[in-house]
Amino acid sequence: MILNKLEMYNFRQYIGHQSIEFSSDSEKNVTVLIGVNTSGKTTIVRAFEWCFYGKNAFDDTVLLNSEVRNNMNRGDVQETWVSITFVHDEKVYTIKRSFKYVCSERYSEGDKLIVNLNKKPEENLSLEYLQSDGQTKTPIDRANITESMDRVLPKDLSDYFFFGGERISSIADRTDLSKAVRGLMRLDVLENASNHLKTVVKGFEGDIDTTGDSNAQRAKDGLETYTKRKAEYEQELANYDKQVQYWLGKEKEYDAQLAKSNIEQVKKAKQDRDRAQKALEAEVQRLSQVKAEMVRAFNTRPYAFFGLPAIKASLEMLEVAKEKAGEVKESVPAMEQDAVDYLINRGYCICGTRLDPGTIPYMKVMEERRVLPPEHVGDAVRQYKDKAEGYLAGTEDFKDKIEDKYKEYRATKRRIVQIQNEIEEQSKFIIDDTDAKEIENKRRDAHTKYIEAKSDYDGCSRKLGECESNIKNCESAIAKYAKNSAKNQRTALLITYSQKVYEWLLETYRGKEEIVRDELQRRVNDNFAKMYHGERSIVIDDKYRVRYSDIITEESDGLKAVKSFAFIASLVSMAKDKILDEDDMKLGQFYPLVMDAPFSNVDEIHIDNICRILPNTANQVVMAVMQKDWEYASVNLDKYVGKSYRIEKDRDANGKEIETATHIM
Amino acid sequence: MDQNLDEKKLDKIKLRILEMETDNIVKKESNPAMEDKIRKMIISEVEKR
Repeated sequence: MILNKLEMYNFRQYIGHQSIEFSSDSEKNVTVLIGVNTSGKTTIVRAFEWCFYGKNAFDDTVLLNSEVRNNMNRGDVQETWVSITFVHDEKVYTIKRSFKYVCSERYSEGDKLIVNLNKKPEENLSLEYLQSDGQTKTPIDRANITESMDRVLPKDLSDYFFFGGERISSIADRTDLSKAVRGLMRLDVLENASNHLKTVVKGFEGDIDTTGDSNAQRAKDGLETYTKRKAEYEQELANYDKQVQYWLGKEKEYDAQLAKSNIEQVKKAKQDRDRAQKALEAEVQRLSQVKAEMVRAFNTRPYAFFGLPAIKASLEMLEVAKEKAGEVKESVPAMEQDAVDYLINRGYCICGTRLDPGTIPYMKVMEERRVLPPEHVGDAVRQYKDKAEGYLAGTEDFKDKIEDKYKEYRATKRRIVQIQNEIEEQSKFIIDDTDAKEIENKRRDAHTKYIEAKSDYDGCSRKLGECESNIKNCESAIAKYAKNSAKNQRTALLITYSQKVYEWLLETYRGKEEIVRDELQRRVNDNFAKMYHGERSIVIDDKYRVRYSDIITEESDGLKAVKSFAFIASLVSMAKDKILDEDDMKLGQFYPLVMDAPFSNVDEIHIDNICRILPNTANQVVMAVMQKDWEYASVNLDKYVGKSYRIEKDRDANGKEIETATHIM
Repeated sequence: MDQNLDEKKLDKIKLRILEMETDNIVKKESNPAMEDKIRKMIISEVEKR
């Protein structure tokens, strides 16, 4: 969506007809509205919200201009409206929302004039677009307007495009940004599709008729049980996750309080402990890595682990037997005594020589018969030896490799215990101070609760994994049965198709989600580094929350705002760059950024930095700013400004500002 | 069974699901309604001659 024009008529303090045209020039994509406090900057953002979505965020919900209202007599009708013209998918749209107010009573109370309006003003909403001839206007049916607007710019996500200075600080701190990120990047399409398809596959599986086959019936019952159990575990896991996050947050909060201590001993101990904590995290990570490497080394030849001692022992025994009994005479491979008996019975060899008892050929053949199986095991022994020696080849360093990994695992565990003791020691220094002692005790308590919650979370996660694997086993048992049963062939075919599509959706979603996560982290860090003058790196967690990778200290509102700017700018730029688009999958979108007093919590250096980034990230930027902020912002932003307006209050005959009448100049 | 799958039908189902879900971002039909629609669409595409 690209905004063309905003028109207002008697809307709040904007008296009469007011119009703002927005710059859509790609080189000069910024429109700036400069005004003093209370001039009506916030009203501009709210005009968008009301017109697009019917959202009325004013304390006094009457939208009609006060001056117009005060001049109404009983029965008088006055209208207020907002109209927005925008371009979406190469079509020009105009949306207009109006309220018609009727004066229900007018009286005076002392010096005060009271004008009451009907509680529910008549509302009109229209949305139309221009046909490609540029002349014909096609209206969209009233019943479909909300849906159509949501298609252009979803209401749920409008917070990220129309916002005020106070609201921006909280954006990057929201508890779960996944919905917004998925929505803006249109990953929700893939996510919803895979969720729906998962149920469809289950439905087809439920259609399989298992009567008459006890194994298939058992698998079907098992599938039902495990599916129910899985849902319970998922719920439990979500609860444990909340607890983990809560106690982790608490621990960090107390940590931040300790960081503010003025006592040198506490300060130093806190710093040392933070360092140790970082080292501990690295070692814990190393531990799980070494464990994985050990398992991998084991999995290269797992049979060797169990069979190697027995194979070695049997080969040694054979060697001893050979020494005692002498070399085993070599026999014709793959031949048994039965074959010789057959030749003797028929009376001649395969070469045609007669095999009469007592003759030399007969004796030679009988001599060969004596070393053949089953009576003689020489050939079987040789085959066993060949195979056993084959098994042993390449396993020379198998044990050493696992042993090395195990030693490393033990050493890492020892280091973890050492660091944990060190952290404990530092805590003692902290609790020497009375004030810090109380905070430290709370921190320790929070840490213990965090560890407990984490352990519950991990336990539940394991159970969930087991449950998922049981579900898979049941599903494959049912599918195997269905494929081999004539009565279920139609259903089996439907399952195969839907399962294939489901797997494709999951794979595509996961792949694209990973791209979004990596790209978002890269862009947020990049933007944050350009906006913030200190050195900090940012990580995006599993819920897309923006976190500092270093130890958390208390954050100022200004820093929060910079963090949120970096987040929004990155997100909007990713949508704009259409990073997920493929031939048949068009997911990228254009979004404008409409901001009211965006710099109210930000100092001049940061204003300067933010202004360098914003015009290059969004397709279009509209901002209502205070004069003093504009002085800093204009240094970098001026060259991107395509349109500029002043919001000014009207003045009475004495030159005094009129609160209820504002004009855009 | 897999070798009996018709790749064209498979691609058609994928495309149809994406269209239906993109549409539903604004239509916001309930999960059971969407699941039923997708189920019917798959049956119809698979059994199409």
